[in-house]
Amino acid sequence: MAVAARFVPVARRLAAPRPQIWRAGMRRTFATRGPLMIKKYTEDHEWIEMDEGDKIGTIGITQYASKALGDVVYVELPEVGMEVNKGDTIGAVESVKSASDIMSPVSGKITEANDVLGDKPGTINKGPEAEGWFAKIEVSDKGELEGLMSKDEYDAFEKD
Amino acid sequence: MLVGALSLASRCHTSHVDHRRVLAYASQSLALRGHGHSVQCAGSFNGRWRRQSRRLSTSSAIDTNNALPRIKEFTTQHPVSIFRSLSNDPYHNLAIENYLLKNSEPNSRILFTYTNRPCVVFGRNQNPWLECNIAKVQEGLAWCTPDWAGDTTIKEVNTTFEENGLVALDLVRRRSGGGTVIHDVGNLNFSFIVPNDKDFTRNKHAWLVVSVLRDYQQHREKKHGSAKVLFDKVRVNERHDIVMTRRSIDGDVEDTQEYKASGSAFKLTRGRALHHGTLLHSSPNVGQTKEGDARASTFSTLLSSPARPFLQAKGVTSVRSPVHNLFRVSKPEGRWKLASDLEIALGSTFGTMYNDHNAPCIVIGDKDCHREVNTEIHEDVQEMMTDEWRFCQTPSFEYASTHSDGNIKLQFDVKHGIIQSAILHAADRTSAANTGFAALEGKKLHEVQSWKGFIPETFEADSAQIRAHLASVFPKIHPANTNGKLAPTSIIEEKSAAERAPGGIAIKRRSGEGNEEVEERGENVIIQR
Repeated sequence: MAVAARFVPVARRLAAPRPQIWRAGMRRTFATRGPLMIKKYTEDHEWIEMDEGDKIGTIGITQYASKALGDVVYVELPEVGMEVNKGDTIGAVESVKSASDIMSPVSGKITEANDVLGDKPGTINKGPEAEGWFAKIEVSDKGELEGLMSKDEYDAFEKD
Repeated sequence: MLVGALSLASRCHTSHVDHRRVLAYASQSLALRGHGHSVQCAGSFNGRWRRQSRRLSTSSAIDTNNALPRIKEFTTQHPVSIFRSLSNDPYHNLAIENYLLKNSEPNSRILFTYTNRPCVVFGRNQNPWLECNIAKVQEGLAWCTPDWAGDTTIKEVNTTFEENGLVALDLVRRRSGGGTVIHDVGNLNFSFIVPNDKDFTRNKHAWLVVSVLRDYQQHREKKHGSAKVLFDKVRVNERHDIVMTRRSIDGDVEDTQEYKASGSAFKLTRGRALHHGTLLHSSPNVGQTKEGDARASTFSTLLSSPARPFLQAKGVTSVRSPVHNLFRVSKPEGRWKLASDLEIALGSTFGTMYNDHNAPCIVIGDKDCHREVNTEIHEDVQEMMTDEWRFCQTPSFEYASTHSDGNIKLQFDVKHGIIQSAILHAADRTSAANTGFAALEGKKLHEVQSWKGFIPETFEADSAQIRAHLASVFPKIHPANTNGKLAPTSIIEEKSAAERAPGGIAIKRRSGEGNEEVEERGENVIIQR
């Protein structure tokens, strides 16, 4: 019981979409998130967030991209174990007659795909930066993260 | 004169056979013999179109030979450009389109137009077994020619890909999303390749096409009379389709129904957006004359799959819409002229939209897809013609059916085109029957040539019936056409024809392997899941 009580809220916190305030204007990282949880963005509207061990990154499409694409009706997920280079196509989504490629923000090896999207593609629209994540990747060169945009930079880019 | 840029471009390729095929008809009626296919554009339109002619001529110094191989450089120099394919090969045109999307300068804007030979083109994430009647598609399209009775030229149009009165139909998976569409000589394909920036919307270029249609409507009425225009209003609907209302002719009852004149499909990748559509201007296969004309139903039959009741599929299913021709043509060469007029008008309006009145127009074709000329395009063509692409790229689906009053149940999953967990369940028979069916596991569905070995003979009469059912749902697949010809008759030995008949569905089947000849009539042949 005690264990469950301690873990459930954590899991919920991780799975739930971040509160609106984060997107609305909060620029600084909260201490609770820790400085190691790096989240970066690409010009193709993908995000990657590193886990606490700083080895595995979770990839997804941004809130902005999800809105621009419209209702996602089909998701093509990557094969686990696939070795990819930065910029390679790792999957695709279809929405409103549009087939859109999803590119990997970094080089590495795919360790997991979000199978929920296979059965419920609409999950991407519900929480593109939360439960609608796309795949996980073992990052081979952390230096590549440096070249990506921060939240601030992405917000400015997206408004352009 | 317009002849400038276009004929310069055309000179690079005029020796190629498909150009002659396409243009033979146009040149008969137009006055520019000897100038290759630049003929199509000259004298076709007055006023604004003449201005476009002048604009195009100023760009005649372009090295059109190298526009495609050096597309990045070319589109950097010419941020707005127009490409026009004279190939009627759907694989070639789609590969050229994809090449333009992937290799052009990221901020450039391109209009690409082409007309395919008859083919069925389905979306990136669609299931061909579900979207069309594959057996009928492979049989070919019965070319209807009553309009042209007495006109011999139409025969020439078809000799290159006609056999026994049937025109071959390619079955093609494209790279963009959306649903299934049938192409023929009466469809003009337009394709806009632009940056996927804030300016881009899914409707933007559809409205461009609509504005061209509205202008051309007035022009054609003035020049050829109102009978040559079949639409009244035209607009872009919520699905980004171009829809029209019919014009009432000779006191006809007013028809408020909207008909689809063009769909829209998109491919978004690496900051680029491709929007293409198939503009139905004057198809001889779409009913445009009398009520009850066989043509009206041809397309709809091709897109009605016998597999539909038995498949549960992921991916994208098409939305069926009634279609209608925009214009009436009285002669085949009139159709080429019409398509050419529309291409010029699109080019002109496209140039205006992006403030480049000197946008060069480059004429390309089959030659640009040769291995020696452009390896990338060539390889893309080869890939799109593989069954791996056409069939194995189908999103996962499940097949299930019941037979013999529910006593026999069949089911399997298909993932990446490969059959998984095939189960045959026979209620009152031995379970050993399942073994034969389970042998399907690991096989590629499109490669199953015959169902004979997989359904045990112990079901007696039911065995033949189940095999007939499976062969109608998953017919033998012919390889992709290389030349728009029907597969040799030896391959089509096992023709299937499911025809609507009074009292139910009739299936006639003659198998090349055994001596079985099954003819069933009645609803029991196709059993609902």
